[in-house]
Amino acid sequence: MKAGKTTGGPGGFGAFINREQVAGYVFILPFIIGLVCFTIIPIIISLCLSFTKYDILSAPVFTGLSNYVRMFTQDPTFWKSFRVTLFYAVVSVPLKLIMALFVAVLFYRGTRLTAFYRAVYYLPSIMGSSVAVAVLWKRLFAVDGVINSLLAFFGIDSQIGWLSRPDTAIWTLIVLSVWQFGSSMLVFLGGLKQIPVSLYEAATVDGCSRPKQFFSITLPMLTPVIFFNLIQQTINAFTAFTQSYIITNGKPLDSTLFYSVYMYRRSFEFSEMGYGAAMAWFMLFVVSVLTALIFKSSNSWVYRASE
Amino acid sequence: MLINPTLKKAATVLLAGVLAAGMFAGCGSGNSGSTASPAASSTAASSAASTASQAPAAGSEAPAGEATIRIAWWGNQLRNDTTTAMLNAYVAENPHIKYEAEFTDWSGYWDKLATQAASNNLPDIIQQDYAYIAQYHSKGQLANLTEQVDAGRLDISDVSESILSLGSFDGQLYALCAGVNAVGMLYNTRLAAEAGVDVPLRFTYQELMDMNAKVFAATGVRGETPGGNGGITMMSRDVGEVFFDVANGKIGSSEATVLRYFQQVKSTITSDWSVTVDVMQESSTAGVENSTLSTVKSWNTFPGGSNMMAAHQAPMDDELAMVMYPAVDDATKESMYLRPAMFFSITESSTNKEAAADILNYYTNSEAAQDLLRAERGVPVSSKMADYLSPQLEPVQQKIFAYIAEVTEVAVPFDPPQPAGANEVNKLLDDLTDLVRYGELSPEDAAARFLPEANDILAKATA
Repeated sequence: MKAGKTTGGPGGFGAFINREQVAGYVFILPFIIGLVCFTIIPIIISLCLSFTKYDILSAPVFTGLSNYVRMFTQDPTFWKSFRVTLFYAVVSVPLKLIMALFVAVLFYRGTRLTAFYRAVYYLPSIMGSSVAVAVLWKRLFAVDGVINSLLAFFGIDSQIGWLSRPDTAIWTLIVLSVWQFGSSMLVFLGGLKQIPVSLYEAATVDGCSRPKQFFSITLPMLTPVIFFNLIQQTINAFTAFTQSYIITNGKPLDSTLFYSVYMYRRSFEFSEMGYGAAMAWFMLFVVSVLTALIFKSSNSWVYRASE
Repeated sequence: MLINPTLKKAATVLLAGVLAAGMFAGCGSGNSGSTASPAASSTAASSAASTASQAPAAGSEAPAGEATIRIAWWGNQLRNDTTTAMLNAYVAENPHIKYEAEFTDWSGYWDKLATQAASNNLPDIIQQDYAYIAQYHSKGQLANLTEQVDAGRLDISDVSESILSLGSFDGQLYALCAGVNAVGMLYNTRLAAEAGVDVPLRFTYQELMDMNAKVFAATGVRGETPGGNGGITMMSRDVGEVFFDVANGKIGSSEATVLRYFQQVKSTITSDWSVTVDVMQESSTAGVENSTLSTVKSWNTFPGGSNMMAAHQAPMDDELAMVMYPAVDDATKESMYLRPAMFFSITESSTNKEAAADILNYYTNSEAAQDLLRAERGVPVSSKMADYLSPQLEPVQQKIFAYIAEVTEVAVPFDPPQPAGANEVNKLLDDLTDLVRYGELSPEDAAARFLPEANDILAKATA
């Protein structure tokens, strides 16, 4: 590279390094290296592996599209896990957002203890996908767990293992997800603070009731934040792993077999890395399409101040 | 004034460079994959050691037999403590040897080992399991131990032939049994006594169900019958069949046996004395300390091996005892067997096979080692060492030793190591068993599905 006309540096290397762009790139170099080393290269490798049969112990063998063909045509468990994950996402994400918004609105009209409660409600989100919470959940919903003891206190004798019944197990995981509404709640709180107070004052003067204010002012003004939360939580739901892996391991009868858990099982327990990689790419495709659809739809429902 | 900002910029660039270099170094040591090094070796030392062990020539081992042995196992805290204590004792006696231990739990272990195998960076000694040795042997990852025996470095004269055969392929030893195990039924002696049930050493399925009913009637505590791979393996052996017919790459159990298995599952779950499907499901994802037996939700259970007795007993006040597996009512063959709790193998890629063999010899034949290991991996394989250790053990360990001695009287050889695809077949068996338990599938339908689907999995896995 030739030394350009720059201020300060005495030409040569100094001039080169002092160029604004070059210095900038050097500053972010550590991050770039990390990104390439640990994210980009593995992603590319996984794409290559998805066209192979690879048992980790021996070298991968190129098999063309066979993993994808088998996945779509010969593996009922694949579709089962896809349906389970889809159901989980479609049910848990809206419930979680409604819960988060509800609590955020409550907190918005602050009392002295608001900060304290905000922290308390945020806690589950931090611990959210941790193993400890998963184990706690398992105990809560066990046959001899807290839920059944509470029911017994109200005179209902329940011998149900909530996580052991194919029809209730997925709901306990959904409840767990809804319980972790804290981070969405914080984003909503931030959004609420952005809404100009003058709007509410004007509405009050015009004799607008509280519920009407909520639906006509709060909700429309919040749509950008709802949009953000929706995208974030949808992606989270589709990639959920720990809850299913630790609490139920996909049981009973695969009714809680999340896509990512099945992918892990194929890759590591059945030593089919190629198949697992193919599954990962299909999931990437689905999540990308969904995100694109949400983005596309946003034009018709998200409020943008500039318009 | 003009130089100052330049210097400042240069310094920050340098700093960034150092950071980047740090990341590269991070990449490098990540490959050597040592999660825990109790030998107090730094990361730098460990990566240096792994490069040394990969050097092909003897140049790096110039000073009289000096070597660093990497040894990997899965296990629990007790195993980590006892094994490192033994290794420290060995190193104290053999100062020219250093060791690096790499231990994880079961599930992480195989992922890690596979990755290391892929990068040609396996430890010198690896703990092995019956479900994996065939796979590792067929990929040429295990060293021939018979060569070490012939060279006089590994003494196996006190180990029985039937135990050695389980780690052998074509008459050559590739995996040395680390401790002996046997399947059986664990039961709660207090509940049995309360119900007036005298549990015999051997019994049939019908007698087992009668005992379950009696205990439930007297104490209200429920009972179990065997299920899953353990159940169907023993039912097959009872009539002279082998569940995984490795030689022919298919399931060796007959349709009649498979049907009998699923019918047993059905008749257990529909009986009034059976542990409910809810509880069964919960315990299937719980640890040993939360097993149905240890939490007194059932009076009996069928663990994977006799070494599990200690773990089941630990959280309990009631005393446990162990008897043999039930036999089908028209059994024609002896089915009880001794099996390795786990193995040790030396890897083919190891450049220190002699030193590694010496450590295995110490593990197997040294009294000092037994004192430190406390039979945590099962009864010592050397009969001499078992006799030496037995009188010094805690009561529960002594019971395990006594049970192994009983089984040794009758034991016949075990099935060959599980083939590739076995994990998936076992999962299929569990899934179908669950479907029958939940009443979603009749035993006949489950049996009709199992054989073709399992054979299909095995065919694909070996293709």
